[in-house]
Amino acid sequence: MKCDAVRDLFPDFWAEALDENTKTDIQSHLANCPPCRDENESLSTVWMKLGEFPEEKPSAALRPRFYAMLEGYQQGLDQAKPSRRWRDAARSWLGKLPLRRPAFQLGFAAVLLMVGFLGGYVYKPTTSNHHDELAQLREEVHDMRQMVTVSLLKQQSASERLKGVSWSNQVIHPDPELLSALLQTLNYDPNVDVRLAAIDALYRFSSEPNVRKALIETLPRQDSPLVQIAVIDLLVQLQERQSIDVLKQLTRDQDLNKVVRERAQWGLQKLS
Amino acid sequence: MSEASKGVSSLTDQSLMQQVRDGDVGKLGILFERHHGMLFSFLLRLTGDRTLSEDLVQEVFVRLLKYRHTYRGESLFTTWMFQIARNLRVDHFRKHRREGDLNEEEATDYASPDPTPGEQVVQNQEARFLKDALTRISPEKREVLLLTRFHNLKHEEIAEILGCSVPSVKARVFRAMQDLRESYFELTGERVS
Repeated sequence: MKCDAVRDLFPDFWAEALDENTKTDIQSHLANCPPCRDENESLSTVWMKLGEFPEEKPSAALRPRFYAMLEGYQQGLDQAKPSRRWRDAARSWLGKLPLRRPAFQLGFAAVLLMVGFLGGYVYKPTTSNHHDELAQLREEVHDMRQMVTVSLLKQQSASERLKGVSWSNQVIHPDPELLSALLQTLNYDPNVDVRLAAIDALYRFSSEPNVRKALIETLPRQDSPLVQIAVIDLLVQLQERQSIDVLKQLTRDQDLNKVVRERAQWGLQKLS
Repeated sequence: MSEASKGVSSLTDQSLMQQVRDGDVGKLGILFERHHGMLFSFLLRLTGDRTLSEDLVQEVFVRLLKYRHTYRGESLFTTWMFQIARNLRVDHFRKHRREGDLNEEEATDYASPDPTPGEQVVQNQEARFLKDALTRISPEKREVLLLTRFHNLKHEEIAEILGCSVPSVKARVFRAMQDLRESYFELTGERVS
């Protein structure tokens, strides 16, 4: 065996993944080739030491956090089941109609086209009217998104509330009711993942003075270290110097989770 | 151990994940118990940040649920899990900072604030040098070493996770070991023969 071929097989040799014949070939090459022998010896020493590292353990908070997420997901699935039954029923009813036949589809398209022409002929809007209506329509859609968000945020299921938070991403100018619902979620939602998502959503509205104030106020009230860390990170990202007092308070609180205290200390360094 | 729990413990990861895919999402708890420690170790050694690694472990399991319908069971569950984990890590560093900047400040965070007895044993000078040497090699090389040495994955599985060929994995392992040796001996003051 040539040196290059032997060295290519070193990873398999260390991992003991070679058949006996190849292993013997390598060993006899190493016995007769000092450069390869030295290379293997120094590398396999480090390889052996690497294998002595113990497994790192996560904090005790990870397990409850995972099970809370799983439970929230499970609840979301359970609640979605009745609506799925309705959807299946609707699907089976629609399935009975001859929707898939080409003749039916062509006929249906022709009817729609005629209705479109007729509608266009009867209803001829003036240009200014048209623009006004478009603006009004946009406003209505925007309002509708806000309504959907607020209503989803009030749902029992955590996954629905998560959906609500993600709906808020489609809103550009939040009305007070939506902001209040998001802040309510941040302060009182029992699910950590929903609260974390609310923090991300509130970042988009961080130019609103109420939002920054609420972020600072919520910090000592939160019971989840994860949420507290996410809020600290956001306040640092926003360079919110008003939060310095609260951060100082957190660094002094000996009952507080150590990681949060350290994060608060880090935040103070970044802001001062 | 009850008969029921014996039954559950003998189920393979693949069959558990197939049950999760088919709606029995509670079974993800068993997969979490089996693998979260290993996943956390992998991410911690890769990023050097305990809090971030725990967040990423949680996110991996969220994604396993979110994309459970796409699970085909053709490859090992752990292969799929590691693929998700490394994609998340790459996304995270792309969003937040430069790739692979496991700096000295973070490397100190790598050491557990409250070492377990197992950790105390290795907290000798030599192990610390090796730990530091690991943080000095590139993230790509660190990653391939973690997968092959700490998690004992086969080169074929690593090739699937990294999306490359088996010979390429072996070449990466060899180069990563050479870099690690250089860094390690530089720290210990030994000379590479």
